This record gives sequence, C-alpha cells and structure tokens, in this order.
Amino acid sequence: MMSLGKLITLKTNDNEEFKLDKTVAVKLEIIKNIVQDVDCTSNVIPLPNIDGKTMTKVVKYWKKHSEEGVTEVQLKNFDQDFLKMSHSELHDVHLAAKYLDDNQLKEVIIQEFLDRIKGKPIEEIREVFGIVNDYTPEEEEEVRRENAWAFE
Amino acid sequence: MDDYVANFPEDIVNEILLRCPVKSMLRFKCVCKNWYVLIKTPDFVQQHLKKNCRSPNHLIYDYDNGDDDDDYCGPMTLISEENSQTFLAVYSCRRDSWRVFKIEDFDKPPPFDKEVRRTYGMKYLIGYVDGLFLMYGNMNSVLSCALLNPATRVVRRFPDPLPMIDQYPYFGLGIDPLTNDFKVVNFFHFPCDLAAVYSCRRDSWRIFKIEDIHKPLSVVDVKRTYGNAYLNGNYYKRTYGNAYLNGNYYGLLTRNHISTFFYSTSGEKCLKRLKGQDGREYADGAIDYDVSCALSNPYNYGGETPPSPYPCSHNP
Repeated sequence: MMSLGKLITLKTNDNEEFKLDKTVAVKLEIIKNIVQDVDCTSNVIPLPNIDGKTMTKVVKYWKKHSEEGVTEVQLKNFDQDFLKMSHSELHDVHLAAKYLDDNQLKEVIIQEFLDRIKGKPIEEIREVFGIVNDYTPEEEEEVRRENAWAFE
Repeated sequence: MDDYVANFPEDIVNEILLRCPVKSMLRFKCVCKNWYVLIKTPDFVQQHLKKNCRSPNHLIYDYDNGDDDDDYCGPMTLISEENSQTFLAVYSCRRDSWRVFKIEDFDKPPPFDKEVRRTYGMKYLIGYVDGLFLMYGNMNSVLSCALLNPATRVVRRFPDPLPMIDQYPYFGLGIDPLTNDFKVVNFFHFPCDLAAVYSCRRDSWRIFKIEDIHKPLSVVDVKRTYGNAYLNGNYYKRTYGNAYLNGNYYGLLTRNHISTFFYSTSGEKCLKRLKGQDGREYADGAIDYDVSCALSNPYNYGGETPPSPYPCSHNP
C-alpha cells in the first residue's frame, strides 16, 4: 500500500498541523499545484489565511466526503450536522473553502446561508450578516413601499 | 458569544443574493443602503437573470377570453414553482400609471376605487425577452404600449409610436446584446411603409422609412410578428412574411439572441448580416444553426427548420 504512507502536512497560520492522505489533499486545486511544483511529501504546506479552528472543520468535511463506501444519506446527515455553527464560523469556513478553491464546500455554505435568510424578517437578515441598519425609518418605509407586494 | 461578522465581504453577499428569488431580493433592498445599491446595479441584474433564466416563470396571457371590447383587460397567469397567481395589468387614470394586481385583489370591492376600476386593457402581449414582456392595446382608440416585468411586477409605459391608423400593429420586442437595451419595433404599412424603433434607454421612438420598396430584390414584406419566445437562452421569433435587406435595415443576430432590429446605415452599426440560402440577406427570420433553434419563417428556410416547440408564443 504505497499510497498509505503518502501524507501531506498542512500548517495553518496559528501553527496547527494537519496530516492528510495525499489522495485526499490533491483533490484541491491549490494543493495539487503546490505538490506538483515541489515534491513535498516531507515538506509542510503553509496556509497563511486559515486558522486551526477553521481548518479542523474543513478537514473533517473532506475526510467524511472522501470516505469509502459512504452513502448519500450518511453524507446528508453529516452535512446537516456539520453546518450547525455560528454565522461567523460559517463565514470563516467559506473563506477557507474559497482560498482552497473547494467549490463543493463553498456551494454547501452558500446554500446554508440562503436557508438561513429564506423568508426571514429583515431584522434577522441584518443579524446574520452583521449589518447595521443605515436607513432612517422614513427611508426604510419608502424602500418598503417601492415593492410593497414582496412583503406580503 | 458575539456572533457578529465584521465586514462581511461583498463577494459572498453577492453570491448569496444572486441565488435569491426576485421577491426576496426586492425585500432585501430594505436591509441596508449597500444592498439596495447592489441589487439595483444593472450588472447584478444581468448576472441574476443569467443565473436564474434556466427555470423561467411562465406567464400565460389569455386575451381571447371575453369579447372584443377594447377596454377588456385579459388576465395573465404567472406560474412559478411555489404558487400560481393571476394578475391584471391595470391603468389608473388618476395616477396616470400602470400597476399590476393580483386578480383576487381586483375582484374585491375595496380598496380599489371606481377610478382604478375604469381601466383599459393591454390586449396583446409579446415576449418573453430577458424577463420582459411587451404589452399593447387600444385605450380610447389610441394605441398604448408598455413593458411588463412580471417578476418585479413593474409596468413601464412608453410613448405611443405614432398616431395609429393601423388597426393591427405589428410589434416585435428584442434586446440589443451590445448595450442591453430593450428595443421595440413596430411596422406601419399605411399611409406608407415605416418602421418605428423604440429604445428603452433613450425612451423615445425613431422612425425609419422603408425605402426602395419597389426595387426587385428589396421587398419588405413583414406581415406580422406573432411574438417572441424565450427558452434556455435562445430567443424564438415568429414571423409571417419576410423582409429582405435593402440597404437601410439590418437584422441582428448573435449566438443566443435572435431579434428583429433595424438600423439605419448612416446611424448605427450593424453587427452581422445574415445570408439566406438563396444568397439574399434577410433582416428578419434569422436562424442560428449552432444552437439548433429555428424560426417559423416558412418562406426563407424551406426544409431547414428543425422542430421547435415555441413556448410562450401567442399566435392570434
């Protein structure tokens, strides 16, 4: 089993190290490129934009999704559980997924954000995105009137 | 714990909003000024349209329902995945503006006053082109036109083309892919042959005289525009008769856009000329062979017209 020994180490900006099977890691464009550039099975790949807490989540996601024989249902349940995090944590994972160019994870998170704001009152949406309302009550009323039917 | 995302970057907001249905987006204009500006940006609107155009809402317009009364306003049914609703496009004399109502609301006595009830119907509907429909009809025996966006329920009326003598005007609706400007073309055959082109951006009509009509190879014979249809990024246009290029007018075609546009040689640029099989150039009845869609122009493309469903077309 040659591949078993091939581990890649990813190092976050707070010096946490993650050892990953190469077959998992090279699914990601950015890692693949680095691995191709240098034969770095012994080297460490630095991830200057990601902290350990976030990377733990990302790695957990990757491991589950590259498990052999995992069923659709299992993955669905896993995702549901995985996405149970605060808005800001979710946002951090999105940034990490973006940096790592992991489209699947990015898509999952965007969808989760969508679900979180779907049909919610404006006030809650501001909460999700940490937005301070910069309308005066009159201005807000005016914007509301522009498309009153959408609030029905 | 403070769950406050400071400086939520715009690109993720952008990506999330692009996936929202129109109705939610209109609501989200209320969130903050940044969002308001973003949602109104033409670029954003275009992206949103592109992302969501694969499953368009269907709008069924029933203009045969009822008598020939000019004031009759046919109901339109907007069918989306979640619900189906019937709308009326209503002209309010008092406000001098168009509004779109749900038909259930309209049937209730309040809150619509008598004045709103004295409405006039847009009997004809052409579209769908990038989310817009062209509505027109006679109001007090004067032709009236408006653009309808069923997603936002906005009706924008535009000036009447010309004092209408023609009982049955021949309209076409298209979008100029270079400028994203909606254009409406109207043909007049009496007292002389004219083509009027309305540009949404300029909010005005330009009249082109169809000249050289008696020259042998420049027959302009656009009998009727039945309507445009839009499906999976392709436009379908139904015409009866055809128009040959005569130096003054060009048809415009790009990969995914088939429209009827007319340009004067002196003024605007022509993108592409079309050659018919007989070597003549056509200003109407264009076909993009690459994307296997076709036009029902039996005169021009004998045998070459692949089967095509013509969704949303309105054949009088």
